[in-house]
Amino acid sequence: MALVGLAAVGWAWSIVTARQMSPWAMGGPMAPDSMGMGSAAATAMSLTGFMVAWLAMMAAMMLPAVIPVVRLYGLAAARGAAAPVPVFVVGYLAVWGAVGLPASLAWRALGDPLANGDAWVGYLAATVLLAAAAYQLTPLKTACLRHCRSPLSFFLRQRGDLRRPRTALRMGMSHGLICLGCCWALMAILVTLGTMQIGVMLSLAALILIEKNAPQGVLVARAVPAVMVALGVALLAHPSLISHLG
Amino acid sequence: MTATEAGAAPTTMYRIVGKGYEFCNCQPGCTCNFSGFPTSPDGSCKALVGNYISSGSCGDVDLSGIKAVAIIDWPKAIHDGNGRAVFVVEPSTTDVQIDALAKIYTGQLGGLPWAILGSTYSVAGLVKAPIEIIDNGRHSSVRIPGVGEATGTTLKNPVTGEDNIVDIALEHGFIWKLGQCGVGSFHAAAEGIDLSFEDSNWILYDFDWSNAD
Repeated sequence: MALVGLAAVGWAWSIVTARQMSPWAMGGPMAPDSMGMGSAAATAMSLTGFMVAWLAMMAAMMLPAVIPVVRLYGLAAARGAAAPVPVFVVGYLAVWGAVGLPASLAWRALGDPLANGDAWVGYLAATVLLAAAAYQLTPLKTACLRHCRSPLSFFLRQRGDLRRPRTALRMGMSHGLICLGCCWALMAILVTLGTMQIGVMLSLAALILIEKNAPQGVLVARAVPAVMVALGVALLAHPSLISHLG
Repeated sequence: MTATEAGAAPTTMYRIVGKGYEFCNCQPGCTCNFSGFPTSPDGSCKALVGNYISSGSCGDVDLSGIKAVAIIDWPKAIHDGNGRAVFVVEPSTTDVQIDALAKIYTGQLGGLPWAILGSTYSVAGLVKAPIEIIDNGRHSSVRIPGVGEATGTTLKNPVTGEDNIVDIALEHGFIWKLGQCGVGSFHAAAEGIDLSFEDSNWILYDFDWSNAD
């Protein structure tokens, strides 16, 4: 399946990028450069480089989860009742791409402090984890999750002629927005724990996949806050733990 | 036909407005609206859907007053596809009208929900038979002599036996926005499809479907 292939490329790219970027993976935090502008890794990666890596990461994490929706859309596209599948997928990924812009700012600000295990970053991550845990239990999250779990009900709530590329693109973006509604807090966790951390990516991607597609997904969504709270509390007590996560 | 790009060729516009009578084998409420997976015992989705088109047209073909019934058998959830459908229309329906209806319900003319729904099943056959729709709110029935019958009634409070009036309001619904729920029984046999269910999902709704953007 093309989506799985794309996701695989995304994972591969992310793993390579993470290796290149991670100062402590090379044997310890790097000394700040003489201009004091942060680690070599942060300055070496331009905004474009980050956006490409971010998009690869989003593709890796989200495309497996949207396979059922894209498959249903694909049934229509195969018969000419909808614009080609890539149009829908591009609309979907565009939403996650846009999220990359604020993510890049956060990444720049957090890079060095994360490597050094600065306390404030640990507290920030703890706050985000606790907020994410709370969000998992809100009606908004439940509503978003309900919408995203049923491929059929997503399309039943839309209007328009899917054969027009503009409509297909818009619908992909609509689904992206629903996913964003479900997952924004999870992505915030990713960013505050260091963005390109493969371990965190894998854990979150697995959670997203289960929440969206597994029959017990809703139960898992309600249960996982316990883990988030535990991590958050641990970070509040020992903020320097952050440099060991991921 | 000239070699124009798909989508550049002019599309016949349609709009059909009317009442829908939906009977299927899941628990009352049709979980496609909630958790997304069928709650039938075998995980399949089998349905009898009656449509009375009070007003409508497809291009310059008038579809007002038409009654049509779809009997559809999906082996698993609707979104898994592979459904088989038999359509029933009354003998008075003209060939031009049947052609328009076929194009609408199989999604060939685009528009939602049929662009998506129409892709989840293939048409196994077309039957012409009289269709009697007894419209009585939640106590409606759809009768097709020689093919089948569906009867709905209100949900009942399991303790007191009183009527349980339940509606499903889908603010952004597109098959329907307000479904009046009940519990129904139906059986139908045609063109190799044979379905029979009791005390399962029954929803009455108004529809307004079109392929306008």
